[in-house]
Amino acid sequence: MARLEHATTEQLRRLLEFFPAPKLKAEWPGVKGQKKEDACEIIAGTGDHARIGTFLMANFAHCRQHVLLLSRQNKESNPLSALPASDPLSDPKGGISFHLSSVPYSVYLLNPVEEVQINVLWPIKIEQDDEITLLRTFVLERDPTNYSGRPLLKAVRNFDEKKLATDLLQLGLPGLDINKGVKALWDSKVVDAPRVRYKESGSTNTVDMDDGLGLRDTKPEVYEEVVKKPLLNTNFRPQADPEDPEKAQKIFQANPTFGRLGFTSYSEDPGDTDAVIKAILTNNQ
Amino acid sequence: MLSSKRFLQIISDRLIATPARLKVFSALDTQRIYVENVRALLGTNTWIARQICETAVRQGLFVKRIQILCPDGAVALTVDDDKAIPEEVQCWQEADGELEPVSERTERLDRLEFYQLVRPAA
Repeated sequence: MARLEHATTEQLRRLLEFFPAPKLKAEWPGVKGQKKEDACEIIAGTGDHARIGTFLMANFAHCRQHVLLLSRQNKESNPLSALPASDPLSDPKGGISFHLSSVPYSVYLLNPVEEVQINVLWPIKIEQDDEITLLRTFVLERDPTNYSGRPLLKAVRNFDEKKLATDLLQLGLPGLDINKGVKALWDSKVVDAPRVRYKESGSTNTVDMDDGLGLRDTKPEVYEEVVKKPLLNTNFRPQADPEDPEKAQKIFQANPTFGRLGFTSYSEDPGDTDAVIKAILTNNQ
Repeated sequence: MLSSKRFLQIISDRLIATPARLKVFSALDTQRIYVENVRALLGTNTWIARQICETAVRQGLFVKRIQILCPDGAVALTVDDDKAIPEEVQCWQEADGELEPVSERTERLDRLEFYQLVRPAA
Protein backbone atom coordinates (compact mmCIF):
# COMPACT_ATOMS: atom_id res chain seq x y z
CA MET A 1 0.00 0.00 0.00
CA ALA A 2 3.05 2.30 0.35
CA ARG A 3 2.66 3.82 -3.11
CA LEU A 4 -0.96 4.73 -2.38
CA GLU A 5 -0.32 5.92 1.18
CA HIS A 6 2.41 8.28 0.02
CA ALA A 7 0.58 9.50 -3.07
CA THR A 8 0.29 13.25 -3.47
CA THR A 9 -3.11 14.91 -3.92
CA GLU A 10 -2.20 15.49 -7.56
CA GLN A 11 -1.43 11.78 -8.07
CA LEU A 12 -4.72 10.81 -6.40
CA ARG A 13 -6.60 13.23 -8.62
CA ARG A 14 -5.11 11.64 -11.74
CA LEU A 15 -5.82 8.16 -10.37
CA LEU A 16 -9.49 9.02 -9.77
CA GLU A 17 -9.82 10.35 -13.31
CA PHE A 18 -9.50 6.78 -14.58
CA PHE A 19 -12.99 6.10 -13.18
CA PRO A 20 -16.39 7.00 -14.68
CA ALA A 21 -18.03 10.01 -13.06
CA PRO A 22 -21.24 8.19 -12.00
CA LYS A 23 -19.22 5.70 -9.95
CA LEU A 24 -17.24 8.47 -8.25
CA LYS A 25 -20.44 10.34 -7.43
CA ALA A 26 -22.14 7.22 -6.11
CA GLU A 27 -19.26 6.60 -3.70
CA TRP A 28 -18.84 10.28 -2.74
CA PRO A 29 -22.37 11.77 -2.95
CA GLY A 30 -21.04 15.13 -1.77
CA VAL A 31 -19.52 15.79 -5.22
CA LYS A 32 -22.80 15.35 -7.10
CA GLY A 33 -23.37 18.23 -9.50
CA GLN A 34 -19.63 18.84 -9.93
CA LYS A 35 -17.78 18.39 -13.18
CA LYS A 36 -15.68 15.22 -13.17
CA GLU A 37 -12.32 17.02 -12.92
CA ASP A 38 -13.59 19.10 -10.00
CA ALA A 39 -15.06 16.02 -8.33
CA CYS A 40 -11.70 14.22 -8.61
CA GLU A 41 -9.93 17.23 -7.11
CA ILE A 42 -12.33 17.36 -4.14
CA ILE A 43 -12.13 13.61 -3.47
CA ALA A 44 -8.33 13.61 -3.78
CA GLY A 45 -8.27 16.52 -1.33
CA THR A 46 -9.88 14.37 1.36
CA GLY A 47 -6.63 12.40 1.52
CA ASP A 48 -8.59 9.28 2.42
CA HIS A 49 -6.15 6.90 0.81
CA ALA A 50 -7.71 3.75 2.28
CA ARG A 51 -11.18 4.58 0.96
CA ILE A 52 -9.78 5.43 -2.47
CA GLY A 53 -7.93 2.08 -2.50
CA THR A 54 -11.09 0.17 -1.60
CA PHE A 55 -13.05 2.08 -4.25
CA LEU A 56 -10.38 1.31 -6.83
CA MET A 57 -10.54 -2.45 -6.27
CA ALA A 58 -14.36 -2.53 -6.15
CA ASN A 59 -14.74 -0.52 -9.37
CA PHE A 60 -11.85 -1.85 -11.45
CA ALA A 61 -14.18 -3.57 -13.95
CA HIS A 62 -15.92 -0.27 -14.81
CA CYS A 63 -12.76 1.32 -16.19
CA ARG A 64 -11.29 1.38 -19.66
CA GLN A 65 -8.75 -1.40 -19.66
CA HIS A 66 -6.39 -3.65 -21.52
CA VAL A 67 -6.43 -7.35 -20.74
CA LEU A 68 -3.56 -9.68 -21.56
CA LEU A 69 -4.44 -13.36 -21.39
CA LEU A 70 -1.23 -15.27 -20.83
CA SER A 71 -0.37 -18.94 -20.95
CA ARG A 72 1.60 -19.89 -17.82
CA GLN A 73 4.28 -21.94 -19.53
CA ASN A 74 6.65 -20.92 -16.75
CA LYS A 75 4.63 -21.15 -13.54
CA GLU A 76 7.39 -19.54 -11.48
CA SER A 77 7.36 -16.32 -13.51
CA ASN A 78 5.81 -13.20 -12.07
CA PRO A 79 4.24 -10.97 -14.74
CA LEU A 80 4.77 -7.94 -12.50
CA SER A 81 8.48 -8.14 -13.20
CA ALA A 82 7.77 -6.97 -16.78
CA LEU A 83 5.92 -3.87 -15.52
CA PRO A 84 7.07 -0.69 -13.75
CA ALA A 85 7.65 -1.26 -10.01
CA SER A 86 4.47 -1.76 -8.01
CA ASP A 87 3.09 -2.39 -4.51
CA PRO A 88 0.32 -4.82 -3.64
CA LEU A 89 -2.98 -3.14 -2.77
CA SER A 90 -4.40 -6.25 -1.17
CA ASP A 91 -3.47 -9.77 -0.18
CA PRO A 92 -4.06 -12.29 -2.98
CA LYS A 93 -7.48 -13.90 -2.61
CA GLY A 94 -8.78 -16.71 -4.80
CA GLY A 95 -5.98 -16.13 -7.29
CA ILE A 96 -6.86 -12.43 -7.59
CA SER A 97 -4.59 -9.61 -6.52
CA PHE A 98 -4.49 -5.85 -7.04
CA HIS A 99 -1.34 -3.79 -7.37
CA LEU A 100 -0.50 -0.15 -7.81
CA SER A 101 2.31 0.75 -10.13
CA SER A 102 3.48 4.15 -11.31
CA VAL A 103 4.29 5.08 -14.88
CA PRO A 104 6.89 7.81 -15.40
CA TYR A 105 6.16 10.62 -17.88
CA SER A 106 8.37 13.48 -19.03
CA VAL A 107 6.12 16.51 -19.36
CA TYR A 108 7.23 19.57 -21.30
CA LEU A 109 5.41 22.68 -20.05
CA LEU A 110 5.22 26.19 -21.49
CA ASN A 111 5.16 29.65 -19.89
CA PRO A 112 7.93 29.22 -18.93
CA VAL A 113 9.37 26.24 -20.80
CA GLU A 114 10.11 23.53 -18.29
CA GLU A 115 10.57 19.76 -18.26
CA VAL A 116 9.08 17.96 -15.28
CA GLN A 117 8.96 14.29 -14.39
CA ILE A 118 5.70 12.93 -13.06
CA ASN A 119 4.56 9.48 -12.01
CA VAL A 120 1.03 8.46 -12.89
CA LEU A 121 -0.40 5.85 -10.53
CA TRP A 122 -1.42 2.83 -12.57
CA PRO A 123 -3.63 0.09 -11.08
CA ILE A 124 -3.05 -3.53 -12.10
CA LYS A 125 -5.26 -6.56 -11.48
CA ILE A 126 -3.90 -10.08 -11.79
CA GLU A 127 -6.09 -13.18 -11.92
CA GLN A 128 -4.32 -16.49 -12.01
CA ASP A 129 -5.07 -20.20 -12.11
CA ASP A 130 -2.81 -23.13 -12.89
CA GLU A 131 -2.79 -22.55 -16.62
CA ILE A 132 -3.68 -18.93 -17.32
CA THR A 133 -2.79 -15.47 -16.06
CA LEU A 134 -5.00 -12.46 -16.76
CA LEU A 135 -3.12 -9.19 -16.55
CA ARG A 136 -5.49 -6.22 -16.49
CA THR A 137 -4.32 -2.62 -16.64
CA PHE A 138 -6.06 0.71 -17.13
CA VAL A 139 -5.77 2.38 -20.53
CA LEU A 140 -3.13 5.10 -20.22
CA GLU A 141 -3.61 8.40 -21.99
CA ARG A 142 -1.36 8.60 -25.04
CA ASP A 143 -0.90 12.32 -24.81
CA PRO A 144 -2.24 13.52 -21.50
CA THR A 145 -3.08 17.21 -21.40
CA ASN A 146 -4.34 17.78 -17.91
CA TYR A 147 -1.18 17.52 -15.89
CA SER A 148 -0.54 20.88 -14.35
CA GLY A 149 -3.01 23.56 -15.33
CA ARG A 150 -0.25 25.11 -17.44
CA PRO A 151 -0.01 24.99 -21.24
CA LEU A 152 1.62 21.79 -22.33
CA LEU A 153 3.98 21.21 -25.25
CA LYS A 154 3.92 17.45 -24.98
CA ALA A 155 4.09 14.54 -22.57
CA VAL A 156 6.20 11.46 -23.21
CA ARG A 157 5.47 8.19 -21.45
CA ASN A 158 8.69 6.54 -20.33
CA PHE A 159 7.27 3.06 -20.41
CA ASP A 160 6.91 1.17 -23.65
CA GLU A 161 3.65 -0.78 -23.38
CA LYS A 162 4.25 -2.25 -26.86
CA LYS A 163 7.34 -4.07 -25.60
CA LEU A 164 5.40 -5.65 -22.75
CA ALA A 165 4.24 -8.68 -24.77
CA THR A 166 7.81 -9.54 -25.79
CA ASP A 167 9.05 -9.11 -22.21
CA LEU A 168 6.30 -11.42 -20.94
CA LEU A 169 7.11 -13.94 -23.66
CA GLN A 170 10.71 -13.99 -22.48
CA LEU A 171 9.46 -14.67 -18.96
CA GLY A 172 7.69 -17.78 -20.26
CA LEU A 173 4.28 -16.07 -20.36
CA PRO A 174 3.24 -15.98 -24.03
CA GLY A 175 -0.13 -14.61 -25.10
CA LEU A 176 -2.86 -17.23 -24.99
CA ASP A 177 -4.44 -18.02 -28.36
CA ILE A 178 -8.14 -17.23 -27.83
CA ASN A 179 -9.33 -17.57 -31.43
CA LYS A 180 -11.60 -20.44 -30.46
CA GLY A 181 -13.23 -18.61 -27.55
CA VAL A 182 -13.65 -15.31 -29.41
CA LYS A 183 -15.13 -17.04 -32.47
CA ALA A 184 -17.57 -18.96 -30.26
CA LEU A 185 -18.75 -15.65 -28.79
CA TRP A 186 -19.05 -14.21 -32.29
CA ASP A 187 -20.95 -17.29 -33.50
CA SER A 188 -23.36 -17.10 -30.55
CA LYS A 189 -24.68 -13.77 -31.93
CA VAL A 190 -23.98 -11.97 -28.69
CA VAL A 191 -21.58 -9.74 -30.61
CA ASP A 192 -20.80 -8.90 -34.22
CA ALA A 193 -17.72 -7.28 -35.76
CA PRO A 194 -17.75 -3.99 -37.72
CA ARG A 195 -14.00 -4.25 -38.35
CA VAL A 196 -12.10 -7.49 -38.83
CA ARG A 197 -8.41 -8.03 -39.42
CA TYR A 198 -7.23 -11.53 -40.13
CA LYS A 199 -4.31 -13.52 -41.49
CA GLU A 200 -4.88 -14.94 -44.91
CA SER A 201 -2.33 -17.13 -46.60
CA GLY A 202 0.13 -14.66 -48.12
CA SER A 203 -1.57 -11.47 -46.91
CA THR A 204 -3.09 -9.70 -43.94
CA ASN A 205 -6.63 -8.60 -44.72
CA THR A 206 -9.02 -6.09 -43.22
CA VAL A 207 -12.77 -5.85 -43.66
CA ASP A 208 -14.22 -2.49 -42.62
CA MET A 209 -17.99 -2.68 -42.73
CA ASP A 210 -20.03 0.32 -43.85
CA ASP A 211 -22.08 2.20 -41.27
CA GLY A 212 -20.82 0.01 -38.44
CA LEU A 213 -22.67 -3.05 -39.73
CA GLY A 214 -21.60 -6.45 -38.47
CA LEU A 215 -19.71 -8.81 -40.79
CA ARG A 216 -21.45 -11.99 -39.64
CA ASP A 217 -24.99 -10.72 -40.23
CA THR A 218 -24.23 -8.69 -43.36
CA LYS A 219 -21.78 -10.91 -45.24
CA PRO A 220 -22.22 -14.45 -43.96
CA GLU A 221 -20.21 -15.93 -46.84
CA VAL A 222 -17.16 -13.82 -45.92
CA TYR A 223 -17.71 -14.59 -42.24
CA GLU A 224 -17.61 -18.35 -42.96
CA GLU A 225 -14.18 -17.96 -44.53
CA VAL A 226 -12.79 -15.57 -41.92
CA VAL A 227 -13.56 -17.85 -38.97
CA LYS A 228 -11.17 -20.47 -40.38
CA LYS A 229 -8.25 -18.05 -40.09
CA PRO A 230 -6.23 -16.41 -37.32
CA LEU A 231 -7.86 -13.17 -36.20
CA LEU A 232 -5.77 -10.08 -35.51
CA ASN A 233 -7.02 -6.69 -34.23
CA THR A 234 -10.77 -6.91 -34.55
CA ASN A 235 -13.53 -4.69 -33.18
CA PHE A 236 -16.59 -6.30 -31.67
CA ARG A 237 -19.78 -4.67 -30.47
CA PRO A 238 -22.76 -6.10 -28.64
CA GLN A 239 -25.84 -6.81 -30.74
CA ALA A 240 -28.23 -3.88 -30.95
CA ASP A 241 -30.76 -3.76 -28.13
CA PRO A 242 -33.80 -1.51 -28.79
CA GLU A 243 -34.19 -0.95 -25.05
CA ASP A 244 -30.57 0.09 -24.62
CA PRO A 245 -29.34 1.90 -27.76
CA GLU A 246 -26.05 2.84 -26.09
CA LYS A 247 -25.15 -0.78 -25.59
CA ALA A 248 -24.15 -1.23 -29.25
CA GLN A 249 -21.66 1.62 -28.86
CA LYS A 250 -19.61 -0.34 -26.32
CA ILE A 251 -17.08 -1.66 -28.76
CA PHE A 252 -14.29 -3.85 -27.49
CA GLN A 253 -11.20 -4.88 -29.35
CA ALA A 254 -9.68 -8.31 -29.51
CA ASN A 255 -6.44 -9.60 -30.93
CA PRO A 256 -7.24 -13.28 -30.39
CA THR A 257 -4.04 -14.69 -31.89
CA PHE A 258 -2.00 -12.89 -29.24
CA GLY A 259 -4.49 -13.10 -26.34
CA ARG A 260 -5.32 -9.42 -26.04
CA LEU A 261 -8.54 -7.60 -25.27
CA GLY A 262 -9.17 -3.89 -25.04
CA PHE A 263 -12.21 -2.34 -23.39
CA THR A 264 -11.97 1.30 -24.35
CA SER A 265 -15.39 2.38 -23.11
CA TYR A 266 -16.46 2.72 -19.50
CA SER A 267 -18.55 -0.21 -18.38
CA GLU A 268 -21.78 0.54 -16.54
CA ASP A 269 -22.26 -3.00 -15.42
CA PRO A 270 -19.15 -4.54 -13.85
CA GLY A 271 -20.25 -7.81 -15.41
CA ASP A 272 -19.78 -6.44 -18.94
CA THR A 273 -16.02 -6.78 -18.96
CA ASP A 274 -15.81 -9.82 -16.71
CA ALA A 275 -18.62 -11.60 -18.61
CA VAL A 276 -16.86 -11.18 -21.96
CA ILE A 277 -13.58 -12.53 -20.57
CA LYS A 278 -15.34 -15.44 -18.86
CA ALA A 279 -17.33 -16.34 -22.00
CA ILE A 280 -14.16 -16.32 -24.12
CA LEU A 281 -12.20 -18.49 -21.69
CA THR A 282 -15.07 -20.94 -21.18
CA ASN A 283 -15.42 -21.44 -24.93
CA ASN A 284 -11.69 -21.58 -25.53
CA GLN A 285 -11.16 -25.00 -23.97
CA MET B 1 6.66 -41.66 -30.81
CA LEU B 2 3.97 -40.99 -33.38
CA SER B 3 4.95 -42.29 -36.81
CA SER B 4 4.32 -40.13 -39.86
CA LYS B 5 1.90 -42.78 -41.11
CA ARG B 6 -0.03 -42.63 -37.85
CA PHE B 7 0.01 -38.82 -37.87
CA LEU B 8 -1.43 -38.68 -41.38
CA GLN B 9 -3.95 -41.34 -40.42
CA ILE B 10 -5.22 -39.18 -37.53
CA ILE B 11 -5.71 -36.21 -39.83
CA SER B 12 -7.20 -38.41 -42.52
CA ASP B 13 -9.65 -40.02 -40.08
CA ARG B 14 -10.83 -36.65 -38.89
CA LEU B 15 -11.20 -35.35 -42.41
CA ILE B 16 -13.07 -38.32 -43.75
CA ALA B 17 -15.51 -37.99 -40.88
CA THR B 18 -16.60 -34.57 -42.12
CA PRO B 19 -16.73 -33.79 -45.84
CA ALA B 20 -16.93 -30.07 -45.08
CA ARG B 21 -13.53 -30.31 -43.38
CA LEU B 22 -12.06 -32.02 -46.41
CA LYS B 23 -13.09 -29.03 -48.47
CA VAL B 24 -11.41 -26.70 -45.98
CA PHE B 25 -8.23 -28.77 -45.98
CA SER B 26 -8.04 -28.77 -49.76
CA ALA B 27 -8.20 -24.97 -49.66
CA LEU B 28 -5.26 -24.70 -47.26
CA ASP B 29 -2.02 -23.30 -48.55
CA THR B 30 0.40 -26.02 -47.43
CA GLN B 31 3.20 -23.46 -47.44
CA ARG B 32 1.42 -21.32 -44.83
CA ILE B 33 -0.37 -23.40 -42.25
CA TYR B 34 -1.27 -21.54 -39.05
CA VAL B 35 -2.19 -23.37 -35.86
CA GLU B 36 -5.59 -21.69 -36.06
CA ASN B 37 -6.16 -23.17 -39.56
CA VAL B 38 -5.56 -26.65 -38.15
CA ARG B 39 -7.71 -25.96 -35.08
CA ALA B 40 -10.63 -24.69 -37.17
CA LEU B 41 -10.21 -27.53 -39.63
CA LEU B 42 -10.28 -30.27 -37.02
CA GLY B 43 -12.76 -28.53 -34.73
CA THR B 44 -10.44 -29.06 -31.81
CA ASN B 45 -8.71 -26.72 -29.39
CA THR B 46 -5.52 -24.74 -29.89
CA TRP B 47 -3.41 -26.96 -27.65
CA ILE B 48 -4.19 -30.11 -29.64
CA ALA B 49 -3.75 -28.30 -32.97
CA ARG B 50 -0.33 -27.05 -31.86
CA GLN B 51 0.70 -30.55 -30.73
CA ILE B 52 -0.25 -31.92 -34.14
CA CYS B 53 1.86 -29.28 -35.90
CA GLU B 54 4.82 -29.75 -33.56
CA THR B 55 4.60 -33.53 -34.00
CA ALA B 56 4.67 -33.01 -37.73
CA VAL B 57 7.83 -30.90 -37.31
CA ARG B 58 9.49 -33.66 -35.28
CA GLN B 59 8.49 -36.17 -37.94
CA GLY B 60 10.03 -33.99 -40.64
CA LEU B 61 6.67 -33.39 -42.34
CA PHE B 62 6.46 -29.70 -41.45
CA VAL B 63 9.04 -26.96 -40.92
CA LYS B 64 8.24 -24.10 -38.58
CA ARG B 65 8.79 -20.50 -39.63
CA ILE B 66 8.14 -17.16 -37.94
CA GLN B 67 6.56 -13.99 -39.29
CA ILE B 68 7.45 -10.65 -37.73
CA LEU B 69 4.32 -8.47 -37.73
CA CYS B 70 4.31 -4.69 -38.04
CA PRO B 71 2.08 -2.82 -35.56
CA ASP B 72 -0.75 -2.90 -38.11
CA GLY B 73 -0.46 -6.69 -38.46
CA ALA B 74 1.23 -6.70 -41.87
CA VAL B 75 4.10 -9.17 -42.20
CA ALA B 76 7.42 -7.35 -42.36
CA LEU B 77 9.68 -10.39 -42.48
CA THR B 78 9.57 -14.18 -42.46
CA VAL B 79 12.43 -16.14 -40.91
CA ASP B 80 13.24 -19.77 -40.18
CA ASP B 81 12.54 -20.82 -36.61
CA ASP B 82 16.19 -21.29 -35.71
CA LYS B 83 17.54 -18.19 -37.48
CA ALA B 84 18.47 -14.93 -35.79
CA ILE B 85 15.93 -12.14 -36.07
CA PRO B 86 17.28 -8.72 -37.12
CA GLU B 87 17.01 -5.86 -34.62
CA GLU B 88 14.93 -3.70 -36.95
CA VAL B 89 12.52 -4.14 -39.83
CA GLN B 90 10.75 -1.68 -42.09
CA CYS B 91 7.04 -1.08 -41.72
CA TRP B 92 4.64 1.48 -43.17
CA GLN B 93 2.77 4.07 -41.19
CA GLU B 94 0.07 6.46 -42.29
CA ALA B 95 0.73 10.09 -41.43
CA ASP B 96 -1.44 12.95 -42.71
CA GLY B 97 -3.02 10.62 -45.24
CA GLU B 98 0.30 9.42 -46.67
CA LEU B 99 2.17 6.19 -46.12
CA GLU B 100 5.70 6.60 -44.83
CA PRO B 101 8.34 3.93 -44.21
CA VAL B 102 9.32 3.58 -40.55
CA SER B 103 11.93 1.40 -38.87
CA GLU B 104 10.53 -0.68 -36.04
CA ARG B 105 12.56 -2.51 -33.42
CA THR B 106 11.62 -6.19 -33.66
CA GLU B 107 11.59 -6.52 -29.85
CA ARG B 108 8.37 -4.44 -29.93
CA LEU B 109 6.70 -6.53 -32.63
CA ASP B 110 4.55 -9.64 -32.50
CA ARG B 111 5.81 -12.92 -33.90
CA LEU B 112 3.43 -15.33 -35.56
CA GLU B 113 4.43 -18.94 -36.10
CA PHE B 114 3.34 -20.94 -39.10
CA TYR B 115 4.24 -24.25 -40.68
CA GLN B 116 5.16 -25.43 -44.14
CA LEU B 117 4.61 -28.89 -45.49
CA VAL B 118 7.96 -30.27 -46.59
CA ARG B 119 7.82 -31.07 -50.25
CA PRO B 120 9.25 -34.50 -51.02
CA ALA B 121 12.45 -34.45 -53.01
CA ALA B 122 11.80 -34.92 -56.72
